[in-house]
Amino acid sequence: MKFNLKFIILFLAMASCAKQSHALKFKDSTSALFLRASFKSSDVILVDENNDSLSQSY
Amino acid sequence: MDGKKNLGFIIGLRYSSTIKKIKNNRLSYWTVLDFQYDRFEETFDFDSFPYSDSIVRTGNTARKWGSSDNRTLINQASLTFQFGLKYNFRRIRPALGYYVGYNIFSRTEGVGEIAQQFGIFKENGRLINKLHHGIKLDVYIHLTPKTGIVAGIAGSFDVRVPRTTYTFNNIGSYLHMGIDYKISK
Repeated sequence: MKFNLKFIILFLAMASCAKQSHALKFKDSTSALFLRASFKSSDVILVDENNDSLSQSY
Repeated sequence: MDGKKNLGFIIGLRYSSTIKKIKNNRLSYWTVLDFQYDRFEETFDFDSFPYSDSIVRTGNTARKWGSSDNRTLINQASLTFQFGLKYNFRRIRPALGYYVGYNIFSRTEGVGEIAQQFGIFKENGRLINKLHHGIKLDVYIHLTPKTGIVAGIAGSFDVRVPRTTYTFNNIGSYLHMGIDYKISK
């Protein structure tokens, strides 16, 4: 798994900003619908060898 | 195999509700339906698939290819269903979940002979493994009563490639960061 350093630094910066501001009051017993939009950075298409020699085809 | 420019976007709906019996209502369950799109390059080479059945069929052809690269541009989209628990601890709230995804679209451009012959793709360029699943750790940071930041990391479990000894993962592990906006009252 590859980690994008810029991504992590940006996340930590935003997390610290959020922590410093005053806390929001959490409403009890809430049900809510949210819309989410994200950008992703991925390791897509991973092919790994299965080391189980009994199941090898030759 | 070497991957580059692995970027994409996710858009989806999340439903969340607190579990009232838990003290302080701090634990909530959530479900998410996400649409994910990826566009990325992969370079396939002979060493990527040394145990594929296709080597037997292609014989000398595989040897002739050697370690030559096959740069491939892949476009794919999937629908992902997730569920899990979120701990509502002050402003920063961690959530752990499990997800199952289904690949609804996949096209390759500039696909080389290796990628096709070695059974990773069907002849029409569609990926053979449609289903994928894994676990996910998200963090929600509430900025206002309606908006928040969501960031997370997802790790996929491997899926066996049919008729080979390989495991395959067409979504992979990913980091994501975005906006979480409350659309209900």
